[in-house]
Amino acid sequence: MFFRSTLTQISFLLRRKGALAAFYILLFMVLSNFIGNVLAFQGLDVIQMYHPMKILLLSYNRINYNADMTILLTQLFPILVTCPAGFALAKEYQLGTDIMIVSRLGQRRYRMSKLLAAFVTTFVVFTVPFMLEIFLNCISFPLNAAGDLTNWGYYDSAYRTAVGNYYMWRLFVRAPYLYAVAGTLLFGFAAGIFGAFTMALSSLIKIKYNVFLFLPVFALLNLSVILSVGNPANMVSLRWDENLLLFSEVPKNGWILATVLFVMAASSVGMVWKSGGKDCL
Amino acid sequence: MIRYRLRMLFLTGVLGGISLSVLYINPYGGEISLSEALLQLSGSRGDFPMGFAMTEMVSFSLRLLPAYLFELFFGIMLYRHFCTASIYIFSRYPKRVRWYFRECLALGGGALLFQVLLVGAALVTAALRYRLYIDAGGLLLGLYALAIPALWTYGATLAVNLVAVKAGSSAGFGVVAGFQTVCIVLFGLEDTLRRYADMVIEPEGKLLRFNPMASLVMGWHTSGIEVLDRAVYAPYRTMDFNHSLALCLALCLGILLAGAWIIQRHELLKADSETGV
Amino acid sequence: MELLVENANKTIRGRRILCDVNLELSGGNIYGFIGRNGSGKTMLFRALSGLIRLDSGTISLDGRVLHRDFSVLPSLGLILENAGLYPGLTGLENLKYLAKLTRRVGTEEIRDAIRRVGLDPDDKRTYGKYSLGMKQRLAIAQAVMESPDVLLLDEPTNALDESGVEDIRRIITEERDRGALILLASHNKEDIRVLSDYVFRIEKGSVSGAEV
Repeated sequence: MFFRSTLTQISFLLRRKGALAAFYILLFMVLSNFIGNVLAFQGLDVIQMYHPMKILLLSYNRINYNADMTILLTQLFPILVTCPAGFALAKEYQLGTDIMIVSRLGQRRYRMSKLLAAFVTTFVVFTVPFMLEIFLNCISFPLNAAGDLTNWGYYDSAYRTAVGNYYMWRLFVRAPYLYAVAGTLLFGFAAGIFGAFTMALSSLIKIKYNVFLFLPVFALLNLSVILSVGNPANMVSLRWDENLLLFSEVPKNGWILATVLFVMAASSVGMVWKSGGKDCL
Repeated sequence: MIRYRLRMLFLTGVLGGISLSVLYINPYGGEISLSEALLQLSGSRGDFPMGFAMTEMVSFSLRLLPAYLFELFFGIMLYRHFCTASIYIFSRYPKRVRWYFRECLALGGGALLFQVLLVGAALVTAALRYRLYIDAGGLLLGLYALAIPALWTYGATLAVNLVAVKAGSSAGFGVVAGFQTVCIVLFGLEDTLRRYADMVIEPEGKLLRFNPMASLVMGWHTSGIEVLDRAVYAPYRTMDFNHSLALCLALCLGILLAGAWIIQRHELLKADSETGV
Repeated sequence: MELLVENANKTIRGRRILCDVNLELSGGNIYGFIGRNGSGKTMLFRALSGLIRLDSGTISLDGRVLHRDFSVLPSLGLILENAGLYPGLTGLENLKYLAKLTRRVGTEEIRDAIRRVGLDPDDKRTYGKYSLGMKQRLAIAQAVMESPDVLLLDEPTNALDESGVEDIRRIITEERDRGALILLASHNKEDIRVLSDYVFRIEKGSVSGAEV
């Protein structure tokens, strides 16, 4: 019954306004980026052309060339990531629908299935548009183009250092397209954790106005940027965008990202488990 | 005086000002003029005005964080009355528009107080860390640095309230914050038009005049007052302080009047706008 | 089917809500609960439905204990005050969402339940546009659509007109005849008098009675 109810809730959340709005905004940005790339690079010889995966919207490499859409994505992400599923539980509390669902599923099962549904919904919304862009780039741009937006040569030591700082750099070296897919899934996975975390917080803290649910993830993500202000260039980055975007040449530590995501996931499960034992008043 | 969430206003203003000062006011040689401090608070890096690189735009967005928090906490100041049995409230307030303007006045006072606290805390922190000296240009710049962002924060917060009345608090904040973000990204519009459409806008920086968020970048402005003009190293001659002030004032007025119309015509079919029931 | 409540106690924020409640209830009967506002009727229903946990005592159904052997009564229909549905969905869409969580009934049964309470399953109006009476009817439809073994009905005839009250009384009687165990709380003494096989009084969290 747990998976059945989770699937029902996923299907329900994906059709809600929040998820649809976030999806279409991301799709718009992805398509704008794609069209911009087509306009910018049409007519270029394959030798001059940049690697099709390095001109994706999720590519940090873009900051070296016309990063408007990527800037927009990084600025909107803290707000958008809450939209698909962050408000789901709070809304049901406010409406009183939780009573009807709890009477069918039980408290814990309801909340745990809602948590999983929030994660999956946000993951889907933050993966599908970017996967679409990977597909569009593969069919529109030459697959054997290999340029980098820093315009460094492949044998340049600065380039080799930069590549060494990518997450999964060995995968990138062997299969750059698979690297892009894996990186996109990681981005979606992180977005799912953020969405689920917001929902989990709302299970413990009852709020009247949903706008306050923007605050936790908004504050966390911006704090990660603030903590990096003034850091020396060779210091490990704590910024969420430098850790989650593809082809980020900034020094990073994967264990920090993994730990943060694990702690958020674990605390989400813990919060929901604890709230499952509370009275439904 | 606004009583609603006074503590939150003080906290956000003061802590926001202190953090902005620590992060962004960085003088050379341990001393800084008032005008330079204010310019660095609004996007400049040292003597250089803000550019259009991704890092600078992100940095500018971070400077707006306290203002976003103000919009979040005060974006429900009017809206909350539509969430708690609005029918009972407005049946006792038949002159809704009068009620609305009274609330807007309180919100305006709050926005101004917030800006004063933010800038004040930032400057006091800078004065404690470095040697801050007052220059004539800085005093004039300070007036604009209070007025323009205060008007902008007020207009944006009011807009959050009004969108919330129609679509809920989360939609209200999302739409307004999203609009502000898009405006920041459009700082580079001239460059984008040049790149993709071979359109060259003359004079350079002309489109920034019509971008409301560009009004917040003090370092992009010029002035007819010589001492103020000398204090700001504006890259273009297209943005004027008075023009930006007038733009923000006009926007605020527009939102205010639109809000009066919305409040007057809003049908109280729902007792609680947050749930839609 | 037997529902047993033994020495049930519950305190919320220092106030005793349920006080040594003991009940022995069996299927195929309607048990009426009367009491003043704040006497504990709704809290008793919340406890029986698993929404709140007792501080002490047990609730068991056919020997299986609530919150130990299961977290919620396996076949339960519930109407409680302040319970609502999604305002942006139609009545049918709302009930389909609830039904899909447990997949005990299909669309036809849901449509039958909606018709049974006097609503149109093809009504395109969303729940947010329903009148209070329509919302109450839909709440009853969601409670009976899965043919539950236990029905907890808190003020089921609230906001209903005369014909609505008659319809709901008929439905409750039909459910009783089907063998369901029905608990009915109402301020309307007529409802209690007409429908109940047994009547309990609740006062300050204590239950007394079993008047026939």
